[in-house]
Amino acid sequence: MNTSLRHIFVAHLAAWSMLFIVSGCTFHKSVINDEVRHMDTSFIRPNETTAHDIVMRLGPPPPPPDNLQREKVFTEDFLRYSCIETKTTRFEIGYILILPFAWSDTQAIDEILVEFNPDRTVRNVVRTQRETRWAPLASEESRAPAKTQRTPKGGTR
Amino acid sequence: MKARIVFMVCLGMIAGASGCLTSSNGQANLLQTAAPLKTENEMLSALGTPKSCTLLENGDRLYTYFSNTGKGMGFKAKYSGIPIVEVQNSQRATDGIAIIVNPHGRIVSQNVLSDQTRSLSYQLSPF
Repeated sequence: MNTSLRHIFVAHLAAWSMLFIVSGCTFHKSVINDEVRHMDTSFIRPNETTAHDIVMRLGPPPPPPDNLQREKVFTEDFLRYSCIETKTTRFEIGYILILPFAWSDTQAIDEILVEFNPDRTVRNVVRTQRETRWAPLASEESRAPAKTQRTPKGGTR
Repeated sequence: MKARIVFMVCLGMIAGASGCLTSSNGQANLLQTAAPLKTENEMLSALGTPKSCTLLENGDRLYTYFSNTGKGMGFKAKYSGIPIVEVQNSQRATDGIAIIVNPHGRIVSQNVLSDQTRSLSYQLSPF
């Protein structure tokens, strides 16, 4: 076999090998309760706005996903709205014997907690926005810090 | 065939050493960021939105935070798309923090709660 034919053969072999490896790689992203990200909470006035006002304006808090069912979204003391994002990277190699590599990160990317006074008026509104990461391509250290806003600033006493 | 088996065994060892199935859920780095806190403002800045808030009888408020991480390894075998065997060994850790804040916004108690769950599952088809 001459050199040029060998090069063509090696190039084909490399291309097919890459195709074989890449075909076992999948990236999956899901977002639950996406509407929470667009919620405007600027109408909420501490010690004035009531739980009824909030539910009439924003609607009841959406239920959490199945694996987070134990997390409450409303009680007498709070209402919680959260948007959950999951990013999963999978790499499955092998045809008969398969070794599945999977990395998954789930975060509440937008979370709003409205806390009530005993008279059912709003005490505090806390909103946190976070990022999910594509593990293992992005490390834990590369995750941007969460941003938290509180109304009123400095809190009530 | 021999080379493929050796390759798979090597890959299995790498997977076993690194944990080939990992998941995280909830607030990242919860325990690392939860150094002793003094005020409610500090708590919200460091930990973000709490998972729950409960007004206690004496006027204090109890806030909770949770985070889950899972790690495991496993393998499965298929022949012509039909699953033959699937084995998975996993370990899940749940970390939580319970913080009590008094009506003046001062933290009076901060406790870390942790538990671990191990599970081994296997499926042998078609049985």
